[in-house]
Amino acid sequence: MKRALIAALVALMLAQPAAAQHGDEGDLAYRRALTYRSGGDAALALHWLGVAAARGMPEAMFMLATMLLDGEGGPRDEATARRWLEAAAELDYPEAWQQLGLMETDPERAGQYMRRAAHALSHRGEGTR
Amino acid sequence: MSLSLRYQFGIALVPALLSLPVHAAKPPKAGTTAQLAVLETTDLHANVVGYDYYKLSPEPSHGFDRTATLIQQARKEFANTLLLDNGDTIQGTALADYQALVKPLQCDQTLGMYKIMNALKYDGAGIGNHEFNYGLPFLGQVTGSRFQVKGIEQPKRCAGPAFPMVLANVYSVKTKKPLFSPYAIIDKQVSAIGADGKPVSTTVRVGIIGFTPPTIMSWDKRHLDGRVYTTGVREAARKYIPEMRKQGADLVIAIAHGGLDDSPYSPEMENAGWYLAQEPGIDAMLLGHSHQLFPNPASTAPQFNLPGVDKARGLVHGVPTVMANLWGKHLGVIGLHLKHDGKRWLVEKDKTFVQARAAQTGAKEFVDADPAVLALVKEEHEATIRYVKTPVGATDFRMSSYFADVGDVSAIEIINQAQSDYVVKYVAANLPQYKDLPVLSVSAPFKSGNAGPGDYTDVKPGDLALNNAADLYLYPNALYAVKVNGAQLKAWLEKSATRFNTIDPSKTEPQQLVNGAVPSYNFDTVTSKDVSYEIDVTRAPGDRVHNLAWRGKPVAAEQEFLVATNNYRASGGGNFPGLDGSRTVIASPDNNRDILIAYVKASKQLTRAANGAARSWKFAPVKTAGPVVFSSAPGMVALAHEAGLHNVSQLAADDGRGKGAALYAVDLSK
Repeated sequence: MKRALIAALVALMLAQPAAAQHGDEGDLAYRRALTYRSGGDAALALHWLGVAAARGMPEAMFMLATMLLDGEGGPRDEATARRWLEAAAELDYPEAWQQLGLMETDPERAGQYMRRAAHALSHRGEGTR
Repeated sequence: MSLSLRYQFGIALVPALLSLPVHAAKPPKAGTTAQLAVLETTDLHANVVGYDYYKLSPEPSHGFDRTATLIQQARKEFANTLLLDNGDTIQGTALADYQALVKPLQCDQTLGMYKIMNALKYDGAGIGNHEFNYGLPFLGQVTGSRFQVKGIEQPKRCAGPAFPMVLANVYSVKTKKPLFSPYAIIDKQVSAIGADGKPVSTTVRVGIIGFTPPTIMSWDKRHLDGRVYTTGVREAARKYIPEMRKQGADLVIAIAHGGLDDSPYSPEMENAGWYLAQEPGIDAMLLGHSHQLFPNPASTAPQFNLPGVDKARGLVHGVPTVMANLWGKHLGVIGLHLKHDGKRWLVEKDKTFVQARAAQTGAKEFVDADPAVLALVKEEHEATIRYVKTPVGATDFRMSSYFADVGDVSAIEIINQAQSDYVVKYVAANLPQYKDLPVLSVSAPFKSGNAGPGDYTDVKPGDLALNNAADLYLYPNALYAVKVNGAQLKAWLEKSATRFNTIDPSKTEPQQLVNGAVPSYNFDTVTSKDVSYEIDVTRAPGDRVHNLAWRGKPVAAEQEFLVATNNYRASGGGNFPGLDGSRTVIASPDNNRDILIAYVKASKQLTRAANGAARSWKFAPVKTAGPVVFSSAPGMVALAHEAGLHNVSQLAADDGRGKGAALYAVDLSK
């Protein structure tokens, strides 16, 4: 059904590269963070995710929250994670809405977060790399 | 009636005609004042009533039937109201899909949403981006338009809204003319107070102009490319607002389907309200699209913390502005205070106020739903429920997650099969460079009794309907596929295996198998005859996955795979090693749930042997001195045995945790 609804052939994310939206510094910080995370230096990954998140990159906010929730690279910090998730959700990042929904104990509110995740996803087109 | 006919007539022709003075009311005297409350709904998303069509249950926290009550309350409170909708109105629920795709609306039928809006006597509406989701022929039909667009034959005007719909920045490629009337001028009869202090009835000429995000061209490229084009919001405002004033508009209200953004302006800008408010001649601005509440002094949304934005009073560069959240949760109110200077009406800004009124009045309390709304769309609502219950296939086995933690794949394998099938076909059609890579799929049990024994996936044998698919695939995900190597695949499965506590075989007292801190939705498993591995719960986290093999051969660290999953996991959700968005090779626009439905439709009859028995993983055998225990719903042990898990037994009908779950044991030596 969604196939019929969502016809966008070019992913919005791909059409507007992160560097264009958040400046080279944010993009560089984000790439650096992912390199540190893959290389096993979680503390440095956290630092650079913080830099990229502060520059408004929702994907960095989400990854940062994900690591904080898991206590990787530092102590588990749900309150800070939640703040970053809320910031990413305000930028309509679907995965952040979903994470907020997963963390929500009130089923009605959780359902609302999930519906917002669904809507946010509908603004993201198809992409292949 | 005459009012609605006039609008229909106006839309049929051109904006210039629409805005001709309809009658020459006597102009009010200088000093006459009036209050006009502009009411906004936005992003209703076809929530005709507060109802969840997949859970098949009422959902009081949203729905047009409660917004209708807010509208009626406002109409009682204010002598003069002007009711406008901001768009994203016709898409977003199963009812919308039903009316557009399943049983498409006939020409003489009015869309459910517009039926309600006609009954509520809307004065006008804008067009959002989601209006384009079902294509231009459908949009033209249901809005009672006759689009002059390539490939569309619309011999006659169909039933539609009895109020003007305006959109100033989308044009037909064929005619180079706007797709909808860019603006309309509404002669609003108002009760005013004359300069002498006596009540007087007079007219305010209200111009409305609509804007949609130019990004529709990429979001709905398939429907729009080569047929329509957009202009920037600011460009459209500069073209039409002076024209509206020339046509005699006393007021101009911008219906901008978008939010605020202070990035450098471009004609492709999605959220152009911050720039639009700086254009001269706009008296009030209605926003939408970003699903936020404005005014809202507590808002932390970056868009409401920009220079020139007063989030407490509802002003953007001094223009009274409202955004009424989404799904009918709020009603926007801009109380314009007007004063006539002898020539035209002017807004007295110091007496103007902006509010967003909530349908929710307490923690679990809401305004009453207006039963007349459901009555208007009862037939469509009930037909949608029947549609959601329509079988798409059948299963000969019970698909449940009660024993997913100990290896039952009955609710998981079908998801993995559907995902793998999709990726294999996608690669064949689009990604020839990956055609030789094995395709795997992972999925997890989404429900594991957190909320009690009823909180498990449980689809009984028999017909499978759309709402069952929602039980099997709970989350709003899109299918993503990532490319990983053998080492990364093992690391992925190791992270999944943190679902278990470390078991000490020598302990005689009962040991809990499941680590409750790791949610079940992060217990990704493969369910494929091609893959096998063991999880050794006696080992520390990170060293539990052993004997990982593909087609009988050990998986090499460098061996590459495509793994079907979802956007949440591929983007880093759950903090899985190496998954951070950078390994995504397919970011599909299709929902995992819809992919599952399509797969079930194609399979027709699901059987345990073909769709619910492929266990890729087993616990590494170990003899434990004491019992290894876990919780699940009581009285289900026969289900475990049907799934081939003969090492499971129920120890106690109550696990003592107070949620009504039973205590089971799993014998890891078997």
